Amino acid sequence: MHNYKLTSILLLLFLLILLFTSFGCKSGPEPINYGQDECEFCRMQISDNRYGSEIITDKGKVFKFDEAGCMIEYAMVKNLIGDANQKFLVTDFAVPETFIDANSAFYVHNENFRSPMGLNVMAFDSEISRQKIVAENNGHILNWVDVIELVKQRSM
Amino acid sequence: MQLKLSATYFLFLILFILVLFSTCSLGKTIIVAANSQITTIKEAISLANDFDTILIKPGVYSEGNIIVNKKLTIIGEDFPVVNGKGSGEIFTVISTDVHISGLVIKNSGVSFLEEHAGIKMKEVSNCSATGNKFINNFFAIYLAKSSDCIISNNYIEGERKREANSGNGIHLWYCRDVVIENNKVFNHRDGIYFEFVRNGKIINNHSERNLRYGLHFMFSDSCSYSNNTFQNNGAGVAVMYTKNVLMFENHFLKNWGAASYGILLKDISDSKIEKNIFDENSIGLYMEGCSRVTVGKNNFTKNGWALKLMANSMENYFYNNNFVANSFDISTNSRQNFNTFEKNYWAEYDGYDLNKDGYGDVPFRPVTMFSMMIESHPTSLVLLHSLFIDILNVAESIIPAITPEALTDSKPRMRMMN
Repeated sequence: MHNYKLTSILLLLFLLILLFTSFGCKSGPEPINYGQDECEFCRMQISDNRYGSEIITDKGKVFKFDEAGCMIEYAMVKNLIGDANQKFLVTDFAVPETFIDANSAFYVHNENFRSPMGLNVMAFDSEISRQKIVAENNGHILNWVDVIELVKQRSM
Repeated sequence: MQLKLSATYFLFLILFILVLFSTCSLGKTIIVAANSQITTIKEAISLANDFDTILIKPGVYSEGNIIVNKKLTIIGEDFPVVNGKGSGEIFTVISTDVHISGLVIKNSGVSFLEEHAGIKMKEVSNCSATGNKFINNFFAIYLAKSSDCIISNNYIEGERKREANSGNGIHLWYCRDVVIENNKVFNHRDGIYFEFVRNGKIINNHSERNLRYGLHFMFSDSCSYSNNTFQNNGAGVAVMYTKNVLMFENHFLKNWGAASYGILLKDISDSKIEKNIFDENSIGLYMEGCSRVTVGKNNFTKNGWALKLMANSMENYFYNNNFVANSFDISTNSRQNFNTFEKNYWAEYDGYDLNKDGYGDVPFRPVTMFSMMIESHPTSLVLLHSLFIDILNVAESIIPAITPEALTDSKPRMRMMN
């Protein structure tokens, strides 16, 4: 009888731990299911794996977007721009489906490369891979602040 | 004086006739066949003059990128095959008045950086692509900065690979006055895509099994689509940041999935959605940021949600629609409502019509408490069709606490609209 009680308590404890670990706050990026996930801002299906973007909030909540433009517009509506507690991620254009920090990414704006919502800005994780695209196809070099400015101008 | 004048007129007339004849006589036909003098399409184009016809006999032609830079009519006899062999573009049209028909066009190149197509029309007008078959192209037909063109009666089938390396069936970018009619599009990214298009008409097409949307509008103006069928696509139709769209008599069927819609409307104004059928979609019609849209005489049947109306939509008018056998007729995300519902038929309505005017005597509230609850806690969907929810819904309908009070149909129809 006594033994049975102990087992059930242990079992309960185990279940609780399982529950906590599975629902605990994860703060890492969540991979985007291309072709299935929906852009939080424009409601379009996220389909181009060279442009997918993500915000991870201070509470660990993940919002997915089909391009940096939608991410910034969403952040403007929700007042997240400039908030250091929110993590902004963009995809490395040269290596699809890999996230890089939006703040330190290297950007190129070129109207010939058409992103899903028409911002047409590509992100790279290094100056070298950015230079490669610029050398071959031209385009304006931007940093994160310029990209935000570009979206602001467009949405006016 | 009088005589002189008439003589000038006469001269002009003769000149006119001469010009007319000379253009007629220009229209000769060049035959391309494996066993004739001219064996390639490129050669035929280089020999041709404006307004000639190139007739292509049956066979397989693999010539890389064919540039059409003259006013030509290119006709295939018994569907000759033009094979791109997986590299580059197949036909690039850079002249006005080009008409291409009766060909099988297959295997254009797939590129990350360039948008290769089976037929690309670049900065042209008065062109057409009619009655062709497009098989396994990146983009099938691509119109860029063109106007007054017709795309009709084509059969278009893609490979349905991953979305990033699958282009659109019919793609328009910065175009004006284009008609898309009687085409069948399968297995592309978007069946038909309009970006910055003015006055485009999409009539009687069939768009099925496309990865993303059957039809997709972005930043377009004054377009219409009618009598089309959109079936089993990632989502039926997405209309975004567009004005003055007319959507008549289309069928939106079986667009199932987590982010699937019959129609997805985002930031649309001054448009009409009439006489359409929404059957078995996850969400029949989704409206966000829409204003002055008229939704009338549509059938919403067997959808998860017939209508999702976000609170930032205003001055929309819903009339004479049928809502039958949907899990939820309407859901919204606010208690506010600035839209009008009138004379719709709701299968869920259980009021009486004592004065026999054909309309129920008490208004109908189509938004149930449960649908509001799901909007904020999606996981509570597991409680669907449970007794607990039924009781809550009844309680809510007697004393509304969280459902939008203003969202009522003041004149619910007793019988279905035909």
